[in-house]
Amino acid sequence: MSEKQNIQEVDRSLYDFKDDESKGFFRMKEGLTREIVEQISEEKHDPKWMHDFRLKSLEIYNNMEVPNWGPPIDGLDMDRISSYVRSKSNMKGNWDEVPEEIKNTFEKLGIPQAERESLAGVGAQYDSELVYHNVRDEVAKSGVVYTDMESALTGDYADLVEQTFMHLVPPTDHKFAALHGAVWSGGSFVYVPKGVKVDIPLQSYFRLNAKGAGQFEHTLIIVDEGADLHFIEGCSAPKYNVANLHAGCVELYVRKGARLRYSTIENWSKNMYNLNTKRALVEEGGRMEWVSGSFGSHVSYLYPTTILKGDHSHCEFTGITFAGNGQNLDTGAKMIHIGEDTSSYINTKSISKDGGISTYRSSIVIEPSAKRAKSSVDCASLMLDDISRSDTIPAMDVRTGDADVGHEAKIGRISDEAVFYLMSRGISESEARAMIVSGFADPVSKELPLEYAAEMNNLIKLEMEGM
Amino acid sequence: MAETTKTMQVGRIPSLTWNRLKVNYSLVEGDLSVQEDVATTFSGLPEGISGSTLTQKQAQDWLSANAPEEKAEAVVAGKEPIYHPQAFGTGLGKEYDDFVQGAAKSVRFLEVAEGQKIARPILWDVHCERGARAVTSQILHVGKNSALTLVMTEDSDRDASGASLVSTKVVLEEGAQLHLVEVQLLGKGFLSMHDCGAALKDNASLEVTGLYLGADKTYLGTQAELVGKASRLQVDMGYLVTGKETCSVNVNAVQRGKKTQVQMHFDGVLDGTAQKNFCGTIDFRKGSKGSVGNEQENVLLLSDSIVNKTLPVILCEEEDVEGRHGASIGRLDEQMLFYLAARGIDEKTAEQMMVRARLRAVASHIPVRSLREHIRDFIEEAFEG
Repeated sequence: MSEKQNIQEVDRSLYDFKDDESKGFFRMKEGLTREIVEQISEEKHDPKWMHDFRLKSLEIYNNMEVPNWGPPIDGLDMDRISSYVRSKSNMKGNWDEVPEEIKNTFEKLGIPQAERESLAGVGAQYDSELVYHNVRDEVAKSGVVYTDMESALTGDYADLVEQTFMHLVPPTDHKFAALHGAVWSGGSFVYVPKGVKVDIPLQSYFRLNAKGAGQFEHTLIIVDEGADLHFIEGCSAPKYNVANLHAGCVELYVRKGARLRYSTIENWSKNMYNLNTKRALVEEGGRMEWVSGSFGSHVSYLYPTTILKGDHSHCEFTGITFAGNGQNLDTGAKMIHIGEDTSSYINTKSISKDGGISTYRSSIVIEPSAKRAKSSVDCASLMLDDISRSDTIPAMDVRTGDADVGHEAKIGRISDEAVFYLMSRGISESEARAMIVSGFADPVSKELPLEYAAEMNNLIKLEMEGM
Repeated sequence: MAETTKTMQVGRIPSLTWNRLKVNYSLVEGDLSVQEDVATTFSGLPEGISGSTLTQKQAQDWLSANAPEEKAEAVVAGKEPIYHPQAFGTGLGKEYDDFVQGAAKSVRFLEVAEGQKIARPILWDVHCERGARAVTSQILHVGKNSALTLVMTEDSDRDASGASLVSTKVVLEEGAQLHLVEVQLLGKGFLSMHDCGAALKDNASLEVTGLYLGADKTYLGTQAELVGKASRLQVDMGYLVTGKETCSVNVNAVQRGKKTQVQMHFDGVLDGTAQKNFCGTIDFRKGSKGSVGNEQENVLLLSDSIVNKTLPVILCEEEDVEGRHGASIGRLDEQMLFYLAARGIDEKTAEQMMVRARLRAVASHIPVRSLREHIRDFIEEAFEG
């Protein structure tokens, strides 16, 4: 059992095809200046408040330091990143009208097929702009709004957008939130009216094709009282030999008695700096569920945050992170309990192999007002070789005696006994190890819709191939 | 001897996290002047132990020669430096260590010769007078296959104020065993700082039993470097933080040798408006194959106005290890309260029973009966207060 197995790099050919940028694309020059931000604002026909908001965010960005904790981001040079790249085509509501090259990209990724088979609506973003957006008639008739952020800024929900946009994640939150505030582009706005339960998921897919570019989409979802929604987010990019940046922002409002499940399979290319911010505010009796799979990126900082403001509100976070060669993935979750009788549960799995670095980082904050709050954290890490690294840094801050907080974490490797047991039943060693890793990831995959669980299992299988 | 520093950063954790949580380190603010270098002398030491006094230079030279070797290649590129920038790492860190070196003229050096099993515990009692501002610095060197139990007790009058700053460096040679007991029963106005750094060679064993029940502000730090194969660390620590008291704890177990074992257990009680900041780190370095590290903190919360921060960290760069940590923070279990209420025991009494049980469980590791009784009386007095 001591013989080491070869571990191969994942076959990313499915995601690595590149489109020719020279045809029909507009690309903002690299760097981040007031002129560039003004130009983006002009391109997007921002209302005045948004124009001013962008400039204020830029000022905050310029005055903030990069984090002194977490993975290094020295390889990220904003002077070499283009903040805005778009196709010269406008957003379409029909796949047939989407430019051929872009359509082919999403066809290869299976998005139109998924829409036909299992989704209530789809948004497809290519570089900085949505190129396609559609929602099923029956869902639209129930009053569900699913549109691109730019349309939402000036449409019927303009006031609601102004009242909520970057209120959960203010530009002062951290340097890359400020960056997002300055140059954001694209993303989706979803409003689910009171009492409406959307039975099948909505999905947004983000594709960053341009070399040396940034993607800064903004997702704003409001699930009104008693409503129910499952939103799925997918992302990928071809690999380049220069840094790409993703600094998106997701703001989720879960009103009284509502439920929102937000699932993400993140598979950015391994030259990507994924500095994404996600935050949810949950009101009385509301329920927030995060399902998160992190497989791609060179560097990730990703900690979906949930503010349990309302009494009896609840949140569950289920996540898996798989860090391979050249990856430093710093992921986890934050829970802030404010309301009485609030509860949260975090269950995460981390896998490190081939020199990959995986860090689980979390914080549980129980405010003095959160009487009878309960929180439980369970995180497990698996080391697949001795050239990788896995860290666990969970913080708990409890400010009332009337709370119950529990934490369990463990780290280890694949047990020789388990491999031996499977091999004694005729399974090869490599299959046995892959089976054990799949089993380790099972709590996450079983939370995903079948086709996404299959995609995740496929990613794990690819990563484990050759073991 | 007078030296004052307005602010000192202590207990910086090995891998930083979000600054807004204010858990990355603790700040010691206010009067840090020291007037007295506690010149403890040992009389009647049993055969096999020698006690002497070193100058700071002699002490630092000795420590440099006996410090665990740094392996810079094991540091993950770009990470916050996870090695303390100290010649001999300690839990409170460089700023405190430098301060003590400046404040303490001399260092007590206690050495156990090779092959000596000292059956009787060595008692080291420091009684602080009212207003005392004392610094105590010592090195413990336990020779190959030797064994020693050292019991350090600090106390003062219950209503006394002052400062007591302690620094202990430990070097355990191959097969050496040290049971280090620290009991702090200082008055309500005291600043108490305890710092420890230890290096363990092959098959060495360090057992630390700590009970910190007094003082207004307490800062505790321990860093044990398990350099030798099959070296072992066991930590049992209890604390009681009440009223407006604060307590900050940083314990790092650095597992470098093969088949090292770490067991750390922390039991605490918070009441009033007490604030506690705890960080415990199990750090599996490359080469620590076959090692095991376990850590558990249980905190009993008796008031709605407390602030409890807990950060149990595992850092791992080795595949063949098993690490586990857990934390349990909250009030008494409702079922237990119901059980006791059914037997006529009210909630307050039940709480006191649990506090006694938790702290006495730690005290049971102390091999000196009279000290255990002293601790019991101190806890009872705390209840009366």
